[in-house]
Amino acid sequence: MVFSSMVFLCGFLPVVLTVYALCPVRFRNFFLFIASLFFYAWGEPRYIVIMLFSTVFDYANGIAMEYLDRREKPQYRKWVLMLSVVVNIGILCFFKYTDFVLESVGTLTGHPLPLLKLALPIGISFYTFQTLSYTIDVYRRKVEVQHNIIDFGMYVCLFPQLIAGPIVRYSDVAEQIRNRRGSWEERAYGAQRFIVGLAKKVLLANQIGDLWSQISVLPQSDMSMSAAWLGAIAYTFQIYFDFSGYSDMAIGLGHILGFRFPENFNYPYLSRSITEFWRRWHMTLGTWFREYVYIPLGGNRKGTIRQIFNLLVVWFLTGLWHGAGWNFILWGLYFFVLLLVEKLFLLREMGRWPKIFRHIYALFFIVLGWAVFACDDMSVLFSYLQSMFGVNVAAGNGIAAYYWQSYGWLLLILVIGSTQLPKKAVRSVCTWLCTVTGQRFPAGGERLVYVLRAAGLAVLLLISVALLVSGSYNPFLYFRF
Amino acid sequence: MKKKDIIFVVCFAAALAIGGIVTVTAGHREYSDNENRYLIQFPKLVPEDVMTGEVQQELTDAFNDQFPGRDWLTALSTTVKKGIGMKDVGGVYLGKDHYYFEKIMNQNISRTDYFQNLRFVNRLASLSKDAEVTALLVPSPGQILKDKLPEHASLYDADAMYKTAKETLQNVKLVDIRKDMKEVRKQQKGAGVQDSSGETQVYYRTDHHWTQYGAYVGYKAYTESVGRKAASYKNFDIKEFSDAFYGTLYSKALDSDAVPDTIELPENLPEAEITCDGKEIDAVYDTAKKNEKDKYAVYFGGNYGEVDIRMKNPDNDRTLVIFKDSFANSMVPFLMKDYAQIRMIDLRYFKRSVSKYMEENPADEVLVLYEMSSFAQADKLNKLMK
Repeated sequence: MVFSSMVFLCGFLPVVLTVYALCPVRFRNFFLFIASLFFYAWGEPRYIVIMLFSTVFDYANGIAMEYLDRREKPQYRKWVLMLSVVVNIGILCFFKYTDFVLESVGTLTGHPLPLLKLALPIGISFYTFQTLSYTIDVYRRKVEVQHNIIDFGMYVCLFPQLIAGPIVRYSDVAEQIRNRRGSWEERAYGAQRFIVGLAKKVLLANQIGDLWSQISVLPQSDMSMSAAWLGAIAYTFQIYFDFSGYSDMAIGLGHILGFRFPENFNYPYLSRSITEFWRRWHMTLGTWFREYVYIPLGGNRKGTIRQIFNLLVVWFLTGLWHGAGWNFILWGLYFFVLLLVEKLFLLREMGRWPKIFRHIYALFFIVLGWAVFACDDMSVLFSYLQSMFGVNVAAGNGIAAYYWQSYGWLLLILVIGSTQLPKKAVRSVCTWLCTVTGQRFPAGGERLVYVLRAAGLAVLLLISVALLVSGSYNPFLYFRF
Repeated sequence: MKKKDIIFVVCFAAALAIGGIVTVTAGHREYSDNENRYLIQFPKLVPEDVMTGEVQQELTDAFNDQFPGRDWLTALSTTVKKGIGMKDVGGVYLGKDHYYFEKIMNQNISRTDYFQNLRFVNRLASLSKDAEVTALLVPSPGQILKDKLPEHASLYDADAMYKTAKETLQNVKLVDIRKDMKEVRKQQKGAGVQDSSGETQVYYRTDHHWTQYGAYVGYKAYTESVGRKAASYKNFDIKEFSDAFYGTLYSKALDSDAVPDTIELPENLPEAEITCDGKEIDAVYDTAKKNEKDKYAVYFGGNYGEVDIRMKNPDNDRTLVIFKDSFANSMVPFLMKDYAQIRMIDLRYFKRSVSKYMEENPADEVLVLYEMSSFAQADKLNKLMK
């Protein structure tokens, strides 16, 4: 089930919220576990077995490590950890990368190999990373072993972040699993956050995504440099508003249910360097790779050469994590090179540049990166990049002019929406209203602002529903993650 | 603080819940006139289909289709998209003077399929050696009314396609009415229906078909191409049939600003016996369609595999076979007086062997009549080989 569907919004969600509210506190985890399994089974009835296996397996690994401690054989704990890593990553690789490897080997040797043609279990990359965070942190004695399999199962399968993140590490929520007391204020914040996230996905991402879906299939004869850049910019906005919208919805649902999930995006397109971009983009993935790959490899503590190697590994894996395709690997390595150049000298150099140049520099490489990410066929990618740099195409054409004109206003909204402007504007309007009305009706101002804000959210929700019901373009971008 | 937060959260959940409850309890609408399609129904729960995820998919779709206020919400969605400056909605350009145009671009048309279909027509010509074979590929509305498209809006390259047709067709006469259509629409006080800019409407604004007058241009061009003189439009005693026609393009864009079209019909027709797929009908026009959404189905009541029209008192013994899409339906009434028998074959629904059919029913004239994009995209023309 995806959040941006009527069956989730008006079926699953109200039922779950109602039952959850009425449910005695001690059964809530059990209920969430069952509800999450239902949520997952909606789209993947068979693959639920894999998720349950991961759950039971890593629950057992935690117990096993504790048992070894009790028997005073802690030296064997690392074997349990190894087993957990090998099996989890093994399952992930089997489903996600087998065909990619077979196909690549086939192409290289010239003898096509038969493919498995397995559908990728949705969310497997997210929940695998979540369960791994548990066993690794248990091994490091950073978290306590979870004895209750229901509680652990609820953590692994919890529907808000199950299929598109954020990647919630066990240590992030260990306390909240047993003990969460949400306030109504927090729930209201959660509902608001959810609506904003839904609107970002449906009103903004889907609309601009439709533009990318059209430009990406233009025949070469209809292509131009202008169209190619517009397409890449469209995708740049689509992936941000889609992904951060999903994260907002997940975090919002978390708040309604009493969880505090980590933030995942922090206005990434305001960045003035690629280094900064990756501190603001998909933050939970970055944290995961830093905590569980980069630092264990030695991070920056073993000399420059080793650090470069470590970065290479991390960015190769980051690329690969996003999908089994050469373009994703290329995309990861592209950022490796950029980050390395920045680390070695460019960041120091850029310190002297005017802010706007740093901004343009960062955005240029971000947009170019998304073009690499979006074209999953290498030959298509190649000709698309050529078009972006004006090779074999005109600078502009009628089709590009039409699209710029038709989507101009939406692009402006997206640009503004990528900054903190809307948030600040809403805040200052609210304060202004409060003071203006507050002078005449003490305490009335705050109430008025609250009502107006609620009305605004209701309008956003209504329009989102209208776009969903009308069957507008509504893709799910994370089926390859 | 707390009270208004409680109210807000409860209202949020309740609003969603009410939407869901109404959908599930009241959602049994079968057909959407507005959108011109059958809506998806709530499925029965079959355990096997649950395991494959089929039931879930259907439930998801049904939930969307059966949601209360669907028509109103779809209109709202179009309004929002127009509001943020979009010039096309649901694959339809929002043109000037209340015109709508299907957004068919080069990537939507396969040149190889088009070429293949032209070769199938050649094959048909070789099957019917004694007949005069003509292809009339009606231009897409946007190609004639380019100035009504939104600024910079582009369509597929029609020039190249007519050029290919000219080069590929052998023993088939190609009738290209693009010039005629462009001239006719500029007639200021001509017959037919005028649009808000005062031009003669050769295509409907809200539908992808040509108007009765557009069909007349086709009739005239064809008749003259086979060396006969065409009767004047007024001779056919044109009467208004409906002024409340919202066509297929409206159904796609669902724009609340749309202005309905007027359908006119030629009334002065020769008497004829008409059978549609073996079933006799009383008249060319199915006037009951006046009260239905798809008013273009007034001609013969819609599309059939074979429509056989035998004139009762013909003044000649000419016969005509038309391989066609729905564009022919409105042109055939004009042709009736010139033939003893007209047969229309719609390959989408025709189940028999074409070569055998042509052998059994030789005709003096064969006409292939399709709208250009629908001809290029037609996937059943290979039946001409069988």
